[in-house]
Amino acid sequence: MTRAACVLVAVLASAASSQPTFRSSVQTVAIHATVRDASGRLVPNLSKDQFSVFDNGKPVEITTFSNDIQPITVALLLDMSGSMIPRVLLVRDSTLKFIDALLPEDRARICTFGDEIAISPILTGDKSILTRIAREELWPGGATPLWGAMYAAMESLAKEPGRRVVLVLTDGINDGSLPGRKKDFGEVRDRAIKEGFMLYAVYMQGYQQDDGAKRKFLTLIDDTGGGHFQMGPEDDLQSTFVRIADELRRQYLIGFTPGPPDGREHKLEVKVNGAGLTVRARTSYVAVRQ
Amino acid sequence: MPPTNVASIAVSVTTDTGSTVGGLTAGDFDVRVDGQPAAIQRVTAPPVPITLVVLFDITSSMTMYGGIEEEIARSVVPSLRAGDRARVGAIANRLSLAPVFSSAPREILAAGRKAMSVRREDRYGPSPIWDALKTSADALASESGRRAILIVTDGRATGNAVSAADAVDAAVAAEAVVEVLSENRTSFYRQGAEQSYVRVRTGYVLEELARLTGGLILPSDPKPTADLPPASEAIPRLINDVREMYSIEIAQPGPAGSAHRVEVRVKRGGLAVRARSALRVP
Repeated sequence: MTRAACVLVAVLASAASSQPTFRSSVQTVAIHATVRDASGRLVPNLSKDQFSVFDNGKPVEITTFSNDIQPITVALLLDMSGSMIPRVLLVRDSTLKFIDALLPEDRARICTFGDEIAISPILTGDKSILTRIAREELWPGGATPLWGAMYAAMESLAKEPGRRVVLVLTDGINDGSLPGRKKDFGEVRDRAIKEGFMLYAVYMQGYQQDDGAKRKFLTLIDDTGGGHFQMGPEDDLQSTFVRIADELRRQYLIGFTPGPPDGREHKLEVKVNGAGLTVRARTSYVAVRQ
Repeated sequence: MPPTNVASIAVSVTTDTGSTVGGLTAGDFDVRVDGQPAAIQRVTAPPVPITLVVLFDITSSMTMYGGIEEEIARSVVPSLRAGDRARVGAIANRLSLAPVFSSAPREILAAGRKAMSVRREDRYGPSPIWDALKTSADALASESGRRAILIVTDGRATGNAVSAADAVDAAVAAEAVVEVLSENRTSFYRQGAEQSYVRVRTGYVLEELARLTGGLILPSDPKPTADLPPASEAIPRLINDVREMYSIEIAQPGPAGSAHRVEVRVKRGGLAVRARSALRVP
């Protein structure tokens, strides 16, 4: 599958009963779109008629739309490789800040990678539990098995309904793999795109900068409609985490009914009508048969 | 099942050379619960039979002891005495625990080896040490007599469904003495560009666990250069430590679920006394 392959023909469903719930007997392509103004601020409260969606260049009718605050389901994947030792307190404190920024209906799972890939069995919105995990379970050391960890994080959310997000904090690209957990970039990309995961990355200035691999990874993140942030030594990681939580919550939910499933990649484009506004969303889907 | 109206406190009393002091009676002990004197109902002198769970952390970060699995045959089974019962467990990405307590050496060995036969890939995360401790404590809660957990781990717990506090609480509630062989070293991580350092002790919770339950942690001094004792020496010492404790019984000090602070002293001078410092009424 080539890099444009973003899809998902999905039945939209929300796990949160008090949130807008979309259920449909027909397949719907779900798009989560982030809109910012010229100064980079999030723009909420746009209406459905300000958006246009194009499937392989052809306009489609938007059948589902919400600009309500969306709950987050996120795997927070923290690089605990040896090179992160000088930042372990910063990472812990930023994670605590992220937890603090969660709303009651958000759910998060804390995962780490380094010596091992540790996926917490707990996906919860209970801040006391998440805080406990952040305080007790961050142990730096080892290499950077990023692809295996991302795959495992996606696996841990695979059965969750609605938008699934993997937010990774790392200072490097994949370096090494663990027995039984070896995955390559292609496998990560295929899974993310086929199953509609939204990926975010916070990159800390690190020792390892494989620019080619990093570019590919960041392109994948763009294709999923997610975002990436490069952190310098003076940048504020804590506010970046909070900013991501805010962005996730304020994404527009847009859905349309695709044509008959053909198993092919479809190029997807979302446009927004408004001066100085820019939109970020997934760039493709594959019309897979259910 | 342990009697519900009596709380049992395991107490180690040793000389300054580490030898167990025998021959003590109720009149030699001063037990206080929440600061108030508690009436001693009975004292049982050591040695006492033990019911023991032995947990080996075999996750990938456990570089402190190679081939720790061999210690079941080398150290654990030879340290058991008539009347002792044991279950051996391995902590990999989940706990693999021998199905029943046994007093038969061959059965303990065979079940222990089976528990240790974990796939290599299952050793690379997570490391649910607290879950394993809680499961072990829960398994001991319905046993009678002296109950103990011996755990060999580096303390780098991840992927737990329960907290460290839950594990400690379960061990306290089960009246289990927890004996620990751990790195228990202090490390200093330089943080950021400001040349500040954070002090990290992987054995901190384990040390608290041992203290609250009356167990021993080795090495006992968490200095950065602490030497690890050979497992084949430390494990028999820790098992013997459990056996060589007095049992002091007092009336349950409060209603079910209540937690209490315990202090035990010996009226003779010059002796080292170690006992659980927490009590939870079942």
